[in-house]
Amino acid sequence: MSSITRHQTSSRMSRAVVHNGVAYLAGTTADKRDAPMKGQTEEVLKKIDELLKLAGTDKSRLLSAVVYVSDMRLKPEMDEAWLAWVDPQNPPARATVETRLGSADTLVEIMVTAAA
Amino acid sequence: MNQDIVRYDPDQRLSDMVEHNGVLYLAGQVGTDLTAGMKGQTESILRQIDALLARAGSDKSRLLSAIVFVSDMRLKQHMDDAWIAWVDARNPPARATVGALLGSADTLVEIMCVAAK
Repeated sequence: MSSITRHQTSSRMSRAVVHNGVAYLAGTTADKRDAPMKGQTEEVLKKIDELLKLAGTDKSRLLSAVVYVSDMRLKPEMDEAWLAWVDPQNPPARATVETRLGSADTLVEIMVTAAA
Repeated sequence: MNQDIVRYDPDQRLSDMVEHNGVLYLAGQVGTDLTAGMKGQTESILRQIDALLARAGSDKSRLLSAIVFVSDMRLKQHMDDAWIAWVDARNPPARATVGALLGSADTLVEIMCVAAK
């Protein structure tokens, strides 16, 4: 059996799981929920950078991303932060959908996979 | 660097498909004609998925997983009609369907899938 490495594991879930050269990150949300969409997205992306580092990789090796937004009208603000962050040479396959998130003031949640 | 990753049709924001370690990750696909109904939009998406998979030398018989986002769960049956007509009956992927609002009000369905090369 090939090994599985889990990072930031609680009794409920792991924040990152690495198996067979692929890192699977948990859905990541912002802690500062009074921030607007752009600020929350920036915080989420910063957290993703840290988790990718833990998994021994970085944003240039992203494979896929699902972006959940609480209000599709705020998608342009999410995209502003995304465009400033993503490696323009190495963007992942992505989908963005609107759905209800963990709390009423959670505006965005992002779940990514990356090559480790 | 990153010679182990192939990106198809990347723009500054996203790639339409990413290949790594024998696995193809497809971006969420939406229909080309958003005036079409749920069945028509789904058929358009599935043709796009066929075309993307073909570019990497794969096909729908090698699908691993799919998430289907529908804007109105009451229309799921129309999506499924198109899906069942398309999917390889002997090789269906692991699939989930959820209700979610999509990029525009007339976008009825978006499908994101993963396939083996």
